[in-house]
Amino acid sequence: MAKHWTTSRTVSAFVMLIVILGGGAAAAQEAPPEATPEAAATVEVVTITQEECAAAAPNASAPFFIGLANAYFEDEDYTGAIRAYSCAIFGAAELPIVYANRGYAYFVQRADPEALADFNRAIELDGSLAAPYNYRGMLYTVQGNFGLALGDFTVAVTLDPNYAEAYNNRAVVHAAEGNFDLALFDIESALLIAPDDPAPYATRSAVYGALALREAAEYRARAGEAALFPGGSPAEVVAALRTDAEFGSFGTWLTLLVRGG
Amino acid sequence: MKRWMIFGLVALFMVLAAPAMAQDAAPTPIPPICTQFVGEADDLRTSYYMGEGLGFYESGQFSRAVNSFTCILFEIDNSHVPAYMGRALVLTERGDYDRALEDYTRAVELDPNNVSAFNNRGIVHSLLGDYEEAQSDFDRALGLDEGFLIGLNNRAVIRAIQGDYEGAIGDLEEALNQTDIQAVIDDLRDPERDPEAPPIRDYTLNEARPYALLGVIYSAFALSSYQDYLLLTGQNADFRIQSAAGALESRFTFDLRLSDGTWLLVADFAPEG
Repeated sequence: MAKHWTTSRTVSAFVMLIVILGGGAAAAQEAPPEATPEAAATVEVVTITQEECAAAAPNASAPFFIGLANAYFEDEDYTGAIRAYSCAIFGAAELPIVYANRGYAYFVQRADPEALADFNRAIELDGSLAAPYNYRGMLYTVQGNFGLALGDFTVAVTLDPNYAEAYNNRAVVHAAEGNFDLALFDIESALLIAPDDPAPYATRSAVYGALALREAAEYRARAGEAALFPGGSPAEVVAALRTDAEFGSFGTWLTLLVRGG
Repeated sequence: MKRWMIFGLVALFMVLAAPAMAQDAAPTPIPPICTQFVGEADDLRTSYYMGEGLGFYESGQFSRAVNSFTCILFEIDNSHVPAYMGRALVLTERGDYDRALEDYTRAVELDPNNVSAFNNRGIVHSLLGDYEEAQSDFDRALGLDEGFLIGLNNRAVIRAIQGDYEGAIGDLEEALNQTDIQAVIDDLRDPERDPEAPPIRDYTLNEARPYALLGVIYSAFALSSYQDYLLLTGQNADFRIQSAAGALESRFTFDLRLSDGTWLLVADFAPEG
């Protein structure tokens, strides 16, 4: 009965809000950022005007839009979140977390210039917050700017030594650069802080996979193709390792980045 | 000694019975988690949680939406009518009709002129099958605003469910008179009309809706008449009427069923806080 009733709520109070602001349920599952720096070039940036905000909720104050945006953001409806955060900013909400979260929503949609501008604004408003550094580090990582990314992740963990996600993300950059020892060190830090968080385990398995590939290549270089591997023929073992070959590629490292709070 | 034994037994009974007696008491509500805008002015916090509740509601995260609205009522202002309205909307969506009724009732206690609260409470009564209560609420909404189209729509549905087809048709005709939508129809049907031209005025889907409901209710009326005829004639009934009645009965069992809540319209309220 309630399910049928649901259809009638399309005429409810919130139609304008949904039409103008919300990306809706279909938009809730946004794709993760594209792995290539070129992907950002084709993005259509989500925008909204002050007039559209006023039409959506005529008497709404900035906190109302922040609340709305935060709910959309947690639901991963990044289109709705960008619009609602923008409405809050029109309402003079100069809060760093508003810019940081809108920047992250832009980042997910690969609107890189808008994301970077928002992260910079968030840091300008409050340089003591760790999250904008972590988010900007993620953007730099996706863009292949590993040096800048490492710098931001390092600032993030300095500002918040319990920021497990930032440790994980720095590990990803270290690993993508082939610095597996540094990567494993950061993963251990992340796991000490958040032993139940699956992300560092995923990163560590990727690092071990990459290490195994490197060791296999080293072995083959020294022993030759005819050498026997324990547990199977060289071809079988190498084939098994090659199924994980993407662990060593740039694109896969990017999927290991995590946002955190 | 005997007195002390009795006292001891009573005391023992009290100790043993206490947990069972405690279970009969109302459960302690779980306090909401309200960590945003802590320390800010009440009006800012209220606005934030209204927005958050609405966002979670639209996202289908009903428990979190309830938490948001409860933050207002529990921590900031236990007489904030939009928060009761918002929470009741979520509770209705979640099928928690009893608690939704409580919230709407609180809303109308706080604001006895709240047309939307009466209307939406009427919907909950209808979903519970309490059609007299539902009609009473739609009556009260229309008593406050006689041109309330949503109320006319809803009362027509409830009247039809209860077999008052004439009353239902009267409500829908009143709704059509309110909007003068007939003028738009006359224009659209004008053979001289330029088919590319826009309608003579903008109109909403809700303005067209009474025509749909009139069709449904006339069909229900027809079915009722067929059934009366079949009752009287039994085996001697005209087979064409048997067939027509069967077809209509099937439609009213499935897609045209008036009692499933889909024909009722939820009333607007200002959620901005």
